[in-house]
Amino acid sequence: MNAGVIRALVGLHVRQVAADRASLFWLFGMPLMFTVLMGMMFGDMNAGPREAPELTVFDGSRGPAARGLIEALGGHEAFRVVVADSAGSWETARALVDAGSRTAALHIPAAFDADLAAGRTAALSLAYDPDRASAQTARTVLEEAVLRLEFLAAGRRAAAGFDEARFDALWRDPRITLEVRTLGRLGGEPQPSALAGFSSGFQHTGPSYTLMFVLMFMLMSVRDIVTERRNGTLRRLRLAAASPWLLAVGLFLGPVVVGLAQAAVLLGLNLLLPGMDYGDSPGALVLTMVLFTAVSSALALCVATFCRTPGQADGLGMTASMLLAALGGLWWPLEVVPGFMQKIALALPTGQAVTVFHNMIGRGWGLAGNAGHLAALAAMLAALLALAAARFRRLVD
Amino acid sequence: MLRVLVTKDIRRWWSDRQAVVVTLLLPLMLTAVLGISFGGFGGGAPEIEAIPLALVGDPPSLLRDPLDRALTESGLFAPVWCDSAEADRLVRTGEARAAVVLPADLQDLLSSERVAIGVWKDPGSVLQADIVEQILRRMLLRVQGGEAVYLAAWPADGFPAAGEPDPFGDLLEGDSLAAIWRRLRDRAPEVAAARAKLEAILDHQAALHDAFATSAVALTVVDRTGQEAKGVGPSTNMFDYILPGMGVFFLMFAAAAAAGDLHRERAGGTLRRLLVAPLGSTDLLVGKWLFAMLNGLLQLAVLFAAGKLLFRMNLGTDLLALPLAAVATSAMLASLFLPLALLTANEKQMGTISTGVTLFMALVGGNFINVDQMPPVLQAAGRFTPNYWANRTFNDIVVHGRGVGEILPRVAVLFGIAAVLLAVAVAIYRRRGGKAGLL
Repeated sequence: MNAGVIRALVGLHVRQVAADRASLFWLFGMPLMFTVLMGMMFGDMNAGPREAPELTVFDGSRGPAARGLIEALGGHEAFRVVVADSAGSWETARALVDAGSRTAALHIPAAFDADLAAGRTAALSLAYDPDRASAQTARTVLEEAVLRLEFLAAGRRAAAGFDEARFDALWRDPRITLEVRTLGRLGGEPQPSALAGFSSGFQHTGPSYTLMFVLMFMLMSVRDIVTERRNGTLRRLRLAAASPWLLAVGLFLGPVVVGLAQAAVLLGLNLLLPGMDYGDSPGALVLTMVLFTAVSSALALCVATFCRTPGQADGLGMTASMLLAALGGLWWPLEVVPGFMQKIALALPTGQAVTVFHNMIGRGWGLAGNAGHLAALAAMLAALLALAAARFRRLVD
Repeated sequence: MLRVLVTKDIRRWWSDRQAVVVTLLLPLMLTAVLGISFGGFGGGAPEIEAIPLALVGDPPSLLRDPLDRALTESGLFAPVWCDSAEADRLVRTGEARAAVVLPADLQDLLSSERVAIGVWKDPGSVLQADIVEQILRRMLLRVQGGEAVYLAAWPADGFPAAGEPDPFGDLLEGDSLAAIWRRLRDRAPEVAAARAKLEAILDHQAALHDAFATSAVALTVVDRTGQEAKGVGPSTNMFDYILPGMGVFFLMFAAAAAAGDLHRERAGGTLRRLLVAPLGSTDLLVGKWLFAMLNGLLQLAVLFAAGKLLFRMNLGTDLLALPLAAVATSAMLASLFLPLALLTANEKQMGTISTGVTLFMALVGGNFINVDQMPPVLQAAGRFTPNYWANRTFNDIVVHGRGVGEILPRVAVLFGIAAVLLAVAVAIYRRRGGKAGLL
């Protein structure tokens, strides 16, 4: 094995990447942008208060019961309650939601308070957009408020001496309660994020987009290998390097070095984001990134052996990176997909790697806890290297 | 001459059939992955897997068996009874998404003591542990409300404090069953007091039951289709959301590739030959634009047809709305990357920048996540991306069933963007010396 040739090939690749400013943007700028924007979409990013979608209330009654109902709807992060100046009609409420300008609209008819006081069934109408999470929360909160009114009305009807103050006290401070806690290393911390087990949405998007862009950059570089083959550069390099295996090792290790540098910078910069960390095991972190980067490079080499034109390389590279990212749980947490999709994810390097990150961050697991996932990544690396070796001659001959 | 140029481009595009297949198949494959992940195959409301749930406690089988059966039959949970140490292990390893820890003494639930039901959540769970908590909270709210209304109506029926009369306690006092039997047989005063109390409680329960027979509030919940909503959750086939977004996303790549063809023709030497042909000053540019638009139209047609056949996707109620939106979107995207193709030096530079621009616009413009679900600052930013208007238009047609009349303003925006960007491309082309500048 001629180490000098390999060093030269690796150095050549690193210099090629560093010389291309657009590549640098792809290596670092784009992943950071995705991490931040997707992190913001996953939930609260400790970025201060933001304006929630509006639930408009058309209060035609303006009585104490209607006011109590409106008060019960207030104070939720998912939506904000705005009481319209005019009473408005049910049709107006529906039109607002239908137009998409309101997440939900509640119509309280003029007779609402009078009906309740007289023991008649009072009508109440909610128009909502079931495809918005904020509207679903608004509906749930409204149903709870209506349930309270049901209990209150039943109590009044059932007993002449019904004590409303006592009812309110018991409703607010019930005897039987839920005591909820999250186990694991983040259990004691507040959880404002949509990611229940995590304290920040970045704890999912940071590692996920680092993994995705390491993989994507390598797969998009397949085009360069195919172009070099078409130009005859690889054949000339082979003549210089004397052995196709040296060339293969060089083409494999060059992207690994660039990928590790990319991962180190991205994971380091991610630490500046609110609530971001990678658990308590630097060993597991380093080994995961080394294995994943090596798997990605081996995969890129394999893909290159299947492509004849740069167009095919672009298509296959983009297809592979998108599918591996989506199926492997880099776009969304694997827990939200059906069981068989979770099994598919764990058959992919992306699924294994992101699971290690989740285990490190959420559960505090290190090398021992993640041994199975790391072994799976190592096995994938071995299989891909074997495939690349079997097909490599097609690339250089 | 334009027809010749467009035909030539179509032939060149078709010559690399593998690339064509990838172009058409990739959006379908990703749509399938997204749709199956969130909506199941063939549409319908999203489903979730039965949540593995650990239950800690030792209730009598009289209580345990029906609870176990109810949880399993709900389809929401896969319950496992275990001790607290095992539950802790199951939750920490993610084998159970949550554990519900019942009070050690279940009688506490029926006493005057304050009782807490424990919920332990999996630290790696994003969604399911929260679902367990929410369902428990809703169930418990009814219990809490029932207790509050009963004790507010008949406070004397609550468990007596120390020193207060306690008819049931007096009857059951002592540790010998024989003593209780004797009291019952002898009709001791404690029996009459307990009976009177029991009768009062039964009367109150019956009164409360009757009181609940009439609803205080009739709540009608209507969704955007105007239908009465049943459960809480999305009402639409998930593919209706996902496929148009993916279609527009990959159309941006196709449009960038079509515009980047200028660089390929220059590198291959064919551009030089074309430019010596008797073309009008902007024929070449318009020809590329027309090819990109037709290419986009074909891609959208294949995608929507496959979406209808494979995923039972809704194509709207107005037959003209979808074709109109497809033409407007294709025209807009065909113009989008032409200025970039004229400003970049080579195909690689063009590819790098256009992919970056595409990914950014897709992220902010709502191709990955519904714009309505984004933080307001991103919603506002999304309006400045051209694809936002395409996504909105398709959403109006496919999800909300809107017709031509209702989508016209957004279609006008799309054609407006197309015209402006094409004009910008022509201006750049002329400023750079027309045909000579291309070389």
